[in-house]
Amino acid sequence: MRLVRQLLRRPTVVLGLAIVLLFTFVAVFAPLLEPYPIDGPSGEPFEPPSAAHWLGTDDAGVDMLSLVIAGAQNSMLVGFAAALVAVLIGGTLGIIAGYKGSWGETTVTGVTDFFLVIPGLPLMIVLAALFGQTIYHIVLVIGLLSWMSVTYVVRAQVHTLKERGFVARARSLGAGDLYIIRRHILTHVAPLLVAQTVLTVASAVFFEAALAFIGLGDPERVSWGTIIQNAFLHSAVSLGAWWAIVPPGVCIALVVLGCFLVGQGVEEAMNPRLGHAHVAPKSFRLRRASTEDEA
Amino acid sequence: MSKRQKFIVRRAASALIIAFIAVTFSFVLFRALPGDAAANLSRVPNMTPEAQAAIRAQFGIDKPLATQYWLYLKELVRGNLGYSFQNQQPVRDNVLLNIRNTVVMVGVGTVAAILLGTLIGVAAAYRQGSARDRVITGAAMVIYSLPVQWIGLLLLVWLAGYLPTSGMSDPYLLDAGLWETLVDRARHMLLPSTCVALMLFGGFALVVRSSQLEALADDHVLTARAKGYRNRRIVWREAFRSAMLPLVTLSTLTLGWVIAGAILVEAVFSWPGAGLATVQAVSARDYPMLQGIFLFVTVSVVGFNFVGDVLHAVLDPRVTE
Repeated sequence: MRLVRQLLRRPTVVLGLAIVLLFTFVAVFAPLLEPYPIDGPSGEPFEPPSAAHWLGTDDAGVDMLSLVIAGAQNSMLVGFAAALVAVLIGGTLGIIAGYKGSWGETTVTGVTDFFLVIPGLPLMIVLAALFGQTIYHIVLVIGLLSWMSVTYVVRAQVHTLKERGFVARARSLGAGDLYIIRRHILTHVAPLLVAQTVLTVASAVFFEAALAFIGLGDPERVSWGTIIQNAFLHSAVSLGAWWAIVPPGVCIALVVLGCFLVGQGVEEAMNPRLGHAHVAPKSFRLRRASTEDEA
Repeated sequence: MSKRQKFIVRRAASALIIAFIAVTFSFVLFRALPGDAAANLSRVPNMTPEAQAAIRAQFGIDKPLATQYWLYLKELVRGNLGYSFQNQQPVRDNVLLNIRNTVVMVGVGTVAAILLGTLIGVAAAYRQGSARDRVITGAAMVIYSLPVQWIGLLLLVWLAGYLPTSGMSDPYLLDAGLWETLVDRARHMLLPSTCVALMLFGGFALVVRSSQLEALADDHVLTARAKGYRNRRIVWREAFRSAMLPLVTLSTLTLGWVIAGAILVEAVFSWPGAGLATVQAVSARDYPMLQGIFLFVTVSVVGFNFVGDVLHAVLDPRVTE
């Protein structure tokens, strides 16, 4: 609770939180908020923004504002679901590696290193191309390739927690490993997991847009990525219809930025010495340089 | 063996192991496909089971999995990546041609991003928390959050009339001299390379800024200040020299990210590189090509990571401890 109060005093965190909550709200209530239906035209093709269509229309005359709202639903869904998958895997592996030590740690760091080195997007493309493009596959593909940074961050935190007095005391009173993990480790790692979830949402939204642009989005659903792809394919560029391109991109950028502000704020509040030593909402790769027991 | 040599040998071994696992991983992935190369042929009229079996024998997919894996490794070592479904050319030749185009375009953009990011990052770190610092950090973060395909499309909308927007050269430019060809190439490269630079420089600027801030707080900088050196010398010669290290590591570690960006940028500008080839292979379901690019990219990234580790060890002996 102290952490929450401390966080709410930071203007950047409040701003980030406001952005993320706003888009989550829009995503949840999307069908109620869309001013026009998205499955049919409500105006002329590529109508510029007007009082009737605030963001204009796309190549089929569908209202852009409605599309962006509907896109929020699927983009945020992919973002949160993939982040949950990633944090579940990464958190579990990180706790195992940090708490167990010895061979458990060697195995986990080996596997994590492997997935860190393999370039993410090409592998996602291969997997999505091989296993079909429903939204569930996309969630899995992104989630299964985004857990590595979570593992490293959690492992480092568990390492320091393990040496703390209360863990030793609990152990000397006869507490088992599972009890200590549940009672002491998890409660202390929880804020970090939240921060990692939020940061992974950002990268997942980004990767969804990338996959969709390459033509690997779910063809049945509208997302910010598929809106951009659709505009690209239907010559919004040559017609100068910037309104068919700008809104989804701005939404992606806002969500990424909001998630980054929140995640960074939580991490800084937990570890003030961290400063600004790392920045990478999309790929956490440079974090690796700071794991002290490397080499 | 010195500590550094041991470090390098250990890194090389781990890079080789990772590369081998990646190669195996790719074999498993592409074999896990539902159906095989002959399965779809059963819909072809007059296709007999015998003919299907003959095709399976021709592709070697009638052999046991272990034999197939062995064959795959053997051919890989000889540089044979199979044949593209799209143009029946060896995948290796296609990939090498594409990679060359990508390296030139992405290389120019990356170098520009590093230079720009360094200048801007150092300028922001000059006085932490100043108006200039805030504006630069904010702008770098915003640019960093923008999807690269979106940046590319906006560049296209704005600059479509002034610069070539797709491809690598003007198909109507015949019998041109060396100079004219070079100018034509550079003009085609300008937009995609700018896009790559824009995508990367925000991240570089933020990293340079934070490591420069750390370096400026160091004792040796205080000494330099006490000696009365001028600010410019302190910033560049005293502080930036140690702040450069993370930049070196970052340049190799973000390679995977650079590749991801290159795929999207090439798709936007139809730049005939490995990224566009990936996109085309995906839509044509050209699996040999897809696998070839994936293998090539993965193994090069592993290699570059190794080079980065070695470089880091040479520049900063502490990492071998």
